[in-house]
Amino acid sequence: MTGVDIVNLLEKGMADKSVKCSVTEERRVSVEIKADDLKEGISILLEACKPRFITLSAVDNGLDVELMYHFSVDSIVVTLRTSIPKETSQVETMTDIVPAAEFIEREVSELFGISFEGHPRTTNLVLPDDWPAEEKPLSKPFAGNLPPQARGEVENLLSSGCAQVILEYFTEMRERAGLPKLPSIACASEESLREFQELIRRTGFDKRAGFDWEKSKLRYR
Amino acid sequence: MMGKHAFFLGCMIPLRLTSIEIAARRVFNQLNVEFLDLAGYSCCPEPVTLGLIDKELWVTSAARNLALAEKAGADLVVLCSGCYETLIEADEILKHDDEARKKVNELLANIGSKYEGKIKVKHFIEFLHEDVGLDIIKKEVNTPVEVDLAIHYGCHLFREVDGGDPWRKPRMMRDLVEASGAKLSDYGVEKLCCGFPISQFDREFSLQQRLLPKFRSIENTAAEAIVFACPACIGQFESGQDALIGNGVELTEYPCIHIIELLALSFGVPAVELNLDFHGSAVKEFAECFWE
Repeated sequence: MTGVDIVNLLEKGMADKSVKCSVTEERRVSVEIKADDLKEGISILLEACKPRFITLSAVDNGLDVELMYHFSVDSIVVTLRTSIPKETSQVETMTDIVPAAEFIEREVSELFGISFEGHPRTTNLVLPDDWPAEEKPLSKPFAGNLPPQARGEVENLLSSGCAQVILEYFTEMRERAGLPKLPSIACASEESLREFQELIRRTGFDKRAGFDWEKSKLRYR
Repeated sequence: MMGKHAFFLGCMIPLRLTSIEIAARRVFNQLNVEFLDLAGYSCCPEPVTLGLIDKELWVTSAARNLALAEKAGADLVVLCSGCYETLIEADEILKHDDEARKKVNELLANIGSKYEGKIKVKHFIEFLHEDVGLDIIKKEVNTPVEVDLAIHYGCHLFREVDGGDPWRKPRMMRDLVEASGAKLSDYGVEKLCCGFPISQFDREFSLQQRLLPKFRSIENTAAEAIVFACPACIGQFESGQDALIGNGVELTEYPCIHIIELLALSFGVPAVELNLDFHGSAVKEFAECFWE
């Protein structure tokens, strides 16, 4: 079996899901998958390739923890990676289909604070029994990559298309001066604002900055 | 005489220092310059913070603004110096970097837009100087502002593309100030940054190492007010002199007037019609005093 075969297998098996599979280098396959689809992706791999589970690794990116389940298939390393938002820090355990993941999921749970739902054993593995439950040694502060000075400006820009906070004091002053309440800026028209925000989404900046569109705020503000 | 023009107002002028927008509309009307408002524009985006934190966001949003002007078939006349820097630099990148233009146009295609590099981007200073002309402007001056002024160009005004002379627009600004009837009082550190960009990271440094040396130099001249081309610099000077005085520094307080407001006054627009109370310094009092 080759890396391309594995990519084809997963793309075909999960054609209705948002999965990004690629051969990143010789004998390396990367699979980006949503947390809700992780078990299905691993199941397809297990059934078709009979892989060996190598390990699970985790990286705290500030806003999310990236989990990477690594498998070996005919000397090809297949990594299924998923991002867990730190607001929930929850994911289903894979131990029911990958029993060898029990130890490493426990370790990730203790060190990063990820809760593996349905895990059969939740007692500490590497930390002392009396270690404070709220202290996760490898967990970074919940923060994105924007400097504090830019955060307000970014929130204003993404929610209104304008870098300034739109204050009623000034819009009323405009009206009193005989000008329209708002200049012809994006947020003065729903269609223009929608178009601007769609463009931002397409650049991926909202994800890089950690912007929550529903709340019109950065996730860490 | 001239083609179609669209104002690019930016965010700060219409929503913080609206008197600049009011004055610009009066000045351009009086000069018979036809202009339209660029409908649906967004923040340029601002070049100092947003331009540095995410280049893709910056250039793509700027390209959308340029494409809006292209669609309207109008050259852009930019009233804000920061917006000018963003738009002229993004335009330059997109005109010469095929890969960047291709990538941006792929993104713009998702919203039915396209950048083609068909329009000119001009700072309002160069538009007034080059496209309208000093002679025509001087003809409109019916109430010369006969006062001594210190000039602050602002860093963005020195931005040139294609290796142009960085003093080209500052010299034009001097000509326009003098056309209004004012006399310039040089103080030696005109080019020094006002400190606004660094103030977002170190306010005290910006006040002590940037703003205060400028004020001290201006105090040695006959200047009665300071004239600007950049709204962010006005904000820094106005809030900065308040902060310095509030911290116990003995300082002469200066009215901080925008050059387009100065021109409007010299064109005979009554101070009261400019709504100068948007300012955080005594511009209104200065202008009313002069106009009477």
